[in-house]
Parts: sequence; C-alpha cells; structure tokens
Amino acid sequence: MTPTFRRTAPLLAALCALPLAASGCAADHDSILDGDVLRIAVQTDQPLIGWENDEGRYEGFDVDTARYIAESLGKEIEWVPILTADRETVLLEDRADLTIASFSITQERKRDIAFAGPYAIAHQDLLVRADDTTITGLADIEGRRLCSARGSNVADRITVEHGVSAVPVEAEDSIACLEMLIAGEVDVLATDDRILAGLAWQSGGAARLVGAGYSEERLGIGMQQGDTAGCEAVNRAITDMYADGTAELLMRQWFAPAGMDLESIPIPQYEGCA
Amino acid sequence: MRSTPVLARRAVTRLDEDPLTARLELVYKTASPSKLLVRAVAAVAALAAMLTALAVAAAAANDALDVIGHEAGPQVVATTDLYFALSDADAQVATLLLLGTSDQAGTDEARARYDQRRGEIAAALLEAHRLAGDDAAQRTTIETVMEHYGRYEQLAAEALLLAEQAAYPQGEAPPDVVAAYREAGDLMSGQLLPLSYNLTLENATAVREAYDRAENRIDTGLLVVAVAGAIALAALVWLQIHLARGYGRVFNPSLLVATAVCLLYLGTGLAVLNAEQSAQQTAKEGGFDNALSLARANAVSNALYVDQVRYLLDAERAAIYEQTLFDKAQALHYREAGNLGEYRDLLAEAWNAPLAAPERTPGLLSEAFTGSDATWDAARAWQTLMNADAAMREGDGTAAERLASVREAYIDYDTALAALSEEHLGTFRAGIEEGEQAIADFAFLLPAAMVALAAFTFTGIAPRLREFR
Repeated sequence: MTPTFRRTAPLLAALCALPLAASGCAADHDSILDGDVLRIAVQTDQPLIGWENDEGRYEGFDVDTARYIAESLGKEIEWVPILTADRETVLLEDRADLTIASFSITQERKRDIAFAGPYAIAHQDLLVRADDTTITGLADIEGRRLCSARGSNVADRITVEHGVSAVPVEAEDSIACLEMLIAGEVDVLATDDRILAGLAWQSGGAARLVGAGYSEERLGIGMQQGDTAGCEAVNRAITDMYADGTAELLMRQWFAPAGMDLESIPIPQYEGCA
Repeated sequence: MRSTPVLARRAVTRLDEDPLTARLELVYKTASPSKLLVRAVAAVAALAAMLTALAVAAAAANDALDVIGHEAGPQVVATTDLYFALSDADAQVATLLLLGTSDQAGTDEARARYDQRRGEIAAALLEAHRLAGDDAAQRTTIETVMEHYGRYEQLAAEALLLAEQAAYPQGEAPPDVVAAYREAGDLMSGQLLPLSYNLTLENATAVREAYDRAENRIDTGLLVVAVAGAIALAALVWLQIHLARGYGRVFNPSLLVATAVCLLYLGTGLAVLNAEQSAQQTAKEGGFDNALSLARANAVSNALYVDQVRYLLDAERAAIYEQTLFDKAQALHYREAGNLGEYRDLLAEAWNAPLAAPERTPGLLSEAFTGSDATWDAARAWQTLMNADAAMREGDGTAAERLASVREAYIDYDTALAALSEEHLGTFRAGIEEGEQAIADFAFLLPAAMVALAAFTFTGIAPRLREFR
C-alpha cells in the first residue's frame, strides 16, 4: 500500500487542489439573508416617519417599511435608534444591517455604502412659519436663515445645485430646527416633504409647508457593500409592498392627515444591486 | 559452530518459504476468481462514478448557459426594449406639445415616431408576457404595465387634442395643455418606466442567480470528479498490483489502456469544466453585465432626453426637470460635481487631455468603458450631448431650434451607445457559444468512454479468469 500511496499522493493532491483553486476566487461576503435577526437603523426624531411614541414604541412610515421588509424576508428585527448624522456610520461600523431613515441615494454615498430601493420618492420642500408670506419658492430664501439637521446635505445642495445662498444654521435634529423656526431664530427649514409634513403636523398649525417641490429625492435603504443577494431580496420585498397596496396604504395612513398631496404615488425605480 | 550446514540449508530453501517472496506475495496462494472480480468491479464502479459526476457537472453547466443565453438573458433585452419604446413615445408626445403649430417637419417626424413606438410597445409587452412564462409575479407586473399604458395613451390623446384645439405656436403651450401632459408624464415617469425598469433588474437577478448556482455546482462537480477519478485510478492500480502479485504479470496491456483512458478523461473533464467556468465568466462579466449596464444606460439616457423636452415645455417645473436630468447624468457617468456647469468642466478637464482610455468612473455608461474606439465615440458623444444641453438651457433661438440641437446630439450619442453595446453583446454571445460547444463535444464522448473503460478493464482480467477453469 505504501508505495502505491507514494505514487498516487502527488496526483491526488494536484486533483484536489483544482476545485479549491476554482472556488477560492469567489468572494466570501456575509449576507443579511444568513442570520435570523436584522439590525435595522431608524430615526427616532422624525414624526410620521421614524418616531418613538409615548409608549416607547417606534412608529412611522419608515418603521412600517422596515417591519414589512423584515417580515417578507422572514427575519426578527433588532432596532438601532439613530439620528440623521449616524445614518452612514452605523453601517460602516457594522452596528446595523439596514438603514431606513429618509436616506437619499447619491453617487457620493454609494462610494462607501450600498443602497437597496429606493422605497419611496420624496420631493425637497420648504417649511416656514404659518404667518410668513414672504417665502413662496426656493428663490425667496436667498439670505434667509436656513436650518437643517446635522449630517443632512440640504443647505449645500441648495447653494450648489440651485444657486440660492441661504445662511445655513445647523441643529441637532429636525425637531430642534422646528423649535427654532417657531421661536423666530431661523426662517426656513428645507428637507424632504415627508419630514416637513410631519413637522407641520407636529407644530399644530404654527408652521406650514410651502409646496415648492424643487427637487426629487430617491430614498434608499442603506446597506453594507458587497451583499448583492441581500440587496436584491430587499428590492423584491419593496416590489411586493407596492404591488399588494401596502405602500399606498401606509402613505395615506401617515401622510394624508398631515395634508400631503398623495394624488399619484410614484413607484420607485430601483438603483440596482451591484 | 560450522558454516557448511547453513549453506546447505540455504540451498534447499523453497521459494514459498523465502521471506522476501512472502513479503511480495509473488505466489499463487492469494489468487482467486472472486478476489479478481471484486477488484475489477470496484474499478469499473469507480470509473462509472467519475464519468457520472462529469456528466452531472456538464449538465449543470449546460443548464446555466441556457438560462443566461436563452431565457433570462433575452428577457432582459425584451424589457429594456419596452422601457426604451415607452420613454421614447413620451418624448414624442412632449415634442408635439412643445412644437405646437410651428415646425411642420418636426411635428410630422414626432407623430410618425410616436405611432412607431406605440407598435413597438405592444410588441414588447406581448413578448415580455410570453417570456415571463409561469412566473406569476412578473406576469402581474406586465399586466399592470399594460393597464397603465392604456391610461397613458388616453391622457396623451387628450393633451394632443387640447393642443390641436388651442393651435399655439412653438414653446407657448397653454396651461391646460401643460397640465394635461403633466398627468400623462407623471404616469409615465412615476409608474410605467419604473415598473419596466424593475422588470429588467428582476430578470438580471435571475441571470445572476443562475450564474451563481452554476458556479457552485461546477465547483462541487470539480471536487466530486477529482475524488471519484482518484478512486478510479487507485482501483485500477490496485487491480494491476493484484494481477502482478497473484499471477506474475507485471504489466497488463488492457488495464494500462484503461488507466490511460481514465487519466485522459479525468484530465480532459477537469479541463473542460474549468474552461466552462471561464467561458461563463467571460459571457457573464465581460459580456452580459456590461451589455446590461449599457441597456440600462440607454433607457436612462432616453429618459434624460425626455427631461430636456419637458424642461422646454413646462417652465413651472423646469427646475425639477433640470435636477432630475443632473441625477441621471451622474448615474450614467459620475463626476464629483455639484451642478451641471461643474460637471461639464470636469468632463472637459478629464477628456480633453490625451488618454489611452476614459476612466471607468462609477456609472451605467462608464462601467462598460473599455479602451476601444467605440468607447471613445460614446464618451465624446456624451460630452457633446452635455454641451448641447447647456446651449439649450442658455436659450438662444426658438423652442424648435433649441430642441433640434439637443435632439441631434442625443441621436448621435444613442448611435454611439448602440455600437458600444454591440461590442459587449459580441463578447456575451461568443462566451455562450464557446461554453455550449465545449460541453457538446465532451458530453457526446462520455458514454463511449464508459463502454470503452469497462471493456478494457474486463478484457484485462479475462485471460486470468480463464486460468481457473
């Protein structure tokens, strides 16, 4: 046996090495589909979108979207409460698997993280004090004090993309901005219309939505890079959410009372999973 | 102690008592027909296992080629055709509304093209529905597209009728016409185009899944073939050794041939499967992924052209259409720019310098860039389109003139894109063909190999079996 083995051993070794070499080329990424629990980051300071209610339960459109996606993937949810500024870092530091938090898909962000979706299309809009009639469109905020939550790119984009220079003021979160607006410390808030509708609703009539709708935002689900199968599975869940009427139902449930125009709810065109 | 008896004893030592002989088992006592048959059957069984594993792995590879090359692959193409026809139909409606009663030649062309696109949409919908087969989710989506499209045609017809009644000159569409178009346009951009775009992506997912599954099965196949092959070789060697020990025949010609054929098939099989994997990789990554990226680029580019027409048609929403165009430009070919002006400057800075190939920055267009002439043509055409876009926005001349300049640039760019796409589709088709050819040649020979190997093994032991009669 020994001489036989000596003769065949190198051959065996060579044969076994072939498939190993072939399979070694495939990248080995963790997928959100592997585990039983999804760590989903949601905002806790966005009324109607991602919000902790008086009973300590998270609620809002983004939270319900998270629940729908987790259920359709058959996963339990572990909530990761975040503020606007944390949306990217929770993914980069592997503290969350998904970020569902009014997160616009941009090519800049795609360099570091991946996006499934979009799961909703929003428009950038303006929120002013209810008695302020001087601001009717984007051009009117030139030179006015514009508040945005830390980590949001709104003020920069207004200046660079639309050539309107407001005086930027940063606050911890959008509720702080709303308080400053009502107190007269700032003149205008700019962000997506869903968030502003929530703030207008919360202000109890002290603030109003301008309806300027100056830019289209594609809100995506942030993910870590390299999980193509996971990203595609999330997109399938979003497809189901729109096809079975859940998306429309949720939009109406959360945003109709806040006075948002819901006449035609656009279906998101996916970014595609790389 | 004398030495003679030792020598005498040694002289009479029998062969079967010699320790060396015993160790080598060069005697008949271990030989029996049943032992011989067991070894031969074991060798043939191992050979059968190896060839079966080869056949299974080859079939897996063939299935994958079928899905990529003949099922989901063409479905991807059918749905991008649908997107393009839908988007371009919308472009013609917006053009007709923009031009009003001016520019007879322009309106005639737009009307003819609208009719042509409507025909193509119907055909693409039927084709997509047929190709969806028994995939219920896809069929539902396609039926939804059909419903929405019926509504779109109706809304577009109403807007065109209003325009005809108002009989206005170019660029002066009255508010009711613009409002009627908005409803149609929103349905197109908000429902029809996303649905068909997502269908394309869903089919691309099917291709990726088939590809990954095939890769895994081929990987497993390679391992099983290698192990079964090693066992078969070991069994043949074991049989040889048994013949050598039991029957004093060091070499058995038939078994040598069987061993050689086994080695040959093992080597060829592993090589073919490896080649298969690399052919699939070329077809998928070099061809399909790039062609898909460009098909999506083609779709997005047409929607970008629609944004230009809408920009001219609907002054109130011009800012939105400029921003959605900028988003599309960034999705096609990314530059670290905050607005269209910066974007054009960065393009000029990068491409006016001599370069071997345009950089593969992120983007549906630029990810398919190679160093070829077709790549440069597409890159230049893109730059020209962006410059024409700027001229259109600065607004010299009538609406028809402003539109004509971007339209011309768009058509040139579209042609360049098609040529680049053809380059990648060539790679895709060649990869699929190469893979199919390799499998076909190899699979054809497998049964013959099995019969030959079994025959050689049994003819190898047949003379020895006869010794027992």
